[in-house]
Amino acid sequence: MLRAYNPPHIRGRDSNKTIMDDVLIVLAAIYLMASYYYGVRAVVLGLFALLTALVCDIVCKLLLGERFSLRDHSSAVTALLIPLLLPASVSYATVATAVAFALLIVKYPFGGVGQNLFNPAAGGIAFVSICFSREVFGYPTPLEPVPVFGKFEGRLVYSAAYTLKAGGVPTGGDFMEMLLGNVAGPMGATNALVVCACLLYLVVRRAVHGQAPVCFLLTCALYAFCFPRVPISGTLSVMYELFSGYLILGAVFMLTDPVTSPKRGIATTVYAVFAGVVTMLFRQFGGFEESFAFSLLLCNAIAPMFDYLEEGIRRRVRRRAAL
Amino acid sequence: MYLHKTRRHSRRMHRFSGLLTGNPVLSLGLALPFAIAATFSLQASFCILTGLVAVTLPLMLLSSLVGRFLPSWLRPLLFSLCAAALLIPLESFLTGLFPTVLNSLGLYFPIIAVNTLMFYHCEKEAELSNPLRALLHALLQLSGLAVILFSCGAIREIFGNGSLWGIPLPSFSYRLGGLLIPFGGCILAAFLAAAAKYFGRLLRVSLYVSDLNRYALEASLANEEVPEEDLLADLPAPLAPDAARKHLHPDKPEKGGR
Repeated sequence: MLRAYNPPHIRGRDSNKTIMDDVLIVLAAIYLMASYYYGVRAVVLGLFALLTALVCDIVCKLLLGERFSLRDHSSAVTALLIPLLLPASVSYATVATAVAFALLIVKYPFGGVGQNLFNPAAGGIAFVSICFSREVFGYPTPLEPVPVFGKFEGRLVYSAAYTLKAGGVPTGGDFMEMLLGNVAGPMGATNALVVCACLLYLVVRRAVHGQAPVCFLLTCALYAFCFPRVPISGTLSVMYELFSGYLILGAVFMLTDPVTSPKRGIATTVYAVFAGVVTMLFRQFGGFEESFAFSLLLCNAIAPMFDYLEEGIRRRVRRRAAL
Repeated sequence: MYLHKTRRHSRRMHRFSGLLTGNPVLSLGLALPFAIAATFSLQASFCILTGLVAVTLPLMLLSSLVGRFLPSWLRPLLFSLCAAALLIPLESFLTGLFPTVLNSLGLYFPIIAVNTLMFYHCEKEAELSNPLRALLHALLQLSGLAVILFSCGAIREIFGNGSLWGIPLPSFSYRLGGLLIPFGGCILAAFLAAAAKYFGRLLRVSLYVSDLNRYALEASLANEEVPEEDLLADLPAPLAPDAARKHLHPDKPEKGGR
């Protein structure tokens, strides 16, 4: 039987494993910051998600009749990303539900690694947002002790995203506190400075292309500046919109998914701008306070169209140049 | 007889098409909106099934009797009007029994009048013009539909709402509200279709392998050379005649000797 192999003389430095390892390194840094604000529970949630992903991987590989390999870290990245998009007070069952949904429904039925149509982490977060919205959108105050196991009995507060959704002006946090993550929100997404540093590391390591997250965030900022949801200045609107919810974290880790995003340069830029507009429209008219996961799933569904359109335009330009 | 079990299985599947195989929802993709969006509870599934049975069964019979006399462009229009006429009193009756469920169903109950299951089978029966066959076919198709609608309704209500037929189940405290929206129904229907295809194929392959084993055994008893293409790679090599005879008739004494 004929088999197709990559030409042996074309070898890149990067592989799936090296890219995923770079992402795991930066996720570890974000978990360190989350553990500073929310204690050991943040790390234990991540480890629990990792264990759930391992079980799901083994089950799916058995069903598919494939060999299970520890060298594939894509499920680990999905599993470690999901708790960072949730509050530290979320239950272990919710985390397990999100990870199981991401792998068993969004990833493996479509073919597994490299063949999924939608971002698994976005799918998992969207599902638990629908199922357990009260738990997913209620946050503990940073630096308040959170028990490692069991239910959080302390006071849950709303994030800035909820206040904006309700038509109010967020209070209780200035620019520096929002930058350093000392505000209520998803436990990995509020540390904007650390997340931006992670983006820089990934771009230098060539694990991701910087154009997608930068174009996406610029689009969101422009939209927030031109159309603030509440009667505040454009600058304040930009600050609150970018630093509320998990917009920046999603832009760095989910929008740049190499499988579900366009492959071509200009197509990626147009895709990022489109995703930014859709995300801000979802925020303005959608039902949830943070709906980046839903807008990303919508954009994933039409991502191949951007590559197709760019190829068509380039072909027409080449034909005209030839004439 | 060669491939005896496989052929018997195939005939049985064809005879019960709609119930055991050729399921209208899972195999043919008919009445999908009802299976996906309208089965958020067992009561809703029951109401939808009642409407589909009340509409599809008489119209399939009618189509088998008079369908071939009607022009093809008029048949769908006429069937839709008849279906609507049947649905109106039924909806009033069901509203008295399940008022909140009918209210929740919204548009999904009235659109039974234009459901694809009815159109597809009415057109088929109009060509065949055999009322008895149409009745049997309708019963089988609606039975298959009932299995799927009730399964989806029960699963979604139990795991999404923690109840069954509106009765709360104390043992189910962990509820996944996402199952109650059409997105959850779509995923459930997809997995049911995949499972039906997988188990159907598993059964067919096992019967085929069993038939080939038998064929190889009989051929070795007759000391015939088995064609290479008739043997699967993982089948055991043909047994020696004595061993094969012992395998088939373990109680029969061996011939010869004192």
